[in-house]
Amino acid sequence: MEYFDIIYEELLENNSFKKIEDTFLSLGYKHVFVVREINTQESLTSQFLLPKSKKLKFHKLFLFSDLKLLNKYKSLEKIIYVGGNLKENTLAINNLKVNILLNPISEKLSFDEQSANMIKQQNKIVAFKTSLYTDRFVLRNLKQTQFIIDLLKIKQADFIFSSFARNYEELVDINILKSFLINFNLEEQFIDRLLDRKILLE
Amino acid sequence: MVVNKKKLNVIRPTLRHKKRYVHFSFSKEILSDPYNLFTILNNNFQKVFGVFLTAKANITVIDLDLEKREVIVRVNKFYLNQFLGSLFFLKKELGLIVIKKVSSTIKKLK
Repeated sequence: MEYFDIIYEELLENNSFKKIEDTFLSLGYKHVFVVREINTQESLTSQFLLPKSKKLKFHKLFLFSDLKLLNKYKSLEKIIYVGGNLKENTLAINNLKVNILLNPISEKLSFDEQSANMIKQQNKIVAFKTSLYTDRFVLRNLKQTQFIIDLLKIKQADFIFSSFARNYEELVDINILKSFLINFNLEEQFIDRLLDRKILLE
Repeated sequence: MVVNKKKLNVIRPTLRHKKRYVHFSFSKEILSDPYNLFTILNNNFQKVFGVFLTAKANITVIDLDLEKREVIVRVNKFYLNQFLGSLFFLKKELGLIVIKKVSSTIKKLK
């Protein structure tokens, strides 16, 4: 098993490479997906360089929260779209460029069986950020996540849990994350599949 | 004939609770003594899983190194996953938690 984590570009910029490499290896990760948040035209066109390491493998991802910028995007890297309310979730699911829907959770439940069906048909992935369950509205987020996961399991659609960390304190050890996910009525083998790099790299 | 029992019999191995020792490190410099850490771990576990599971899990702080910020905690084997899962909610109190090793004896940890 080669576990992966997803982090924002800021974490790489603000820390030394040796510290990053040592931290991720001690946490149990071998693949790191680095996300660049696209808010302006400049962030689309500026260079996105990743460090090289023999022990860790880095991959690129782009995160959009604006459809207009997404329509200008022309590259082969995978795209994350930030979900939330029903309108944004539906836009993301219907857009062919979007590969991953991030946090389809909001004040009211905004993800139903039809959404799960479409996620499966279009081979998209639903991603949950781990800080949803430690920051604000923990109970609400846990309830909605449990419901969404049950729907995705019925439709056999893929979903992932990652830290999406901007700083070190948001990172999670792989053993702690696995034990945490057992509480969502997921089996250990299934959890291993969710956390393995193949789910994003295939 | 009344027998005055002065000592408990040795509990046979099959009845003893199986334990696991968890060695982990944390990044925040907020703790002053082992009892403080025990309170944090216990209260957090109770908040996540409730009073009954906290009693069954039997969390004990065995060793604490404040300079290296490393701890060895003993937990009932059947509640090891729940204990590790509860550490997920301790980011604010302990910062980045890294599990170094989990074993059945303290000797194997060192």
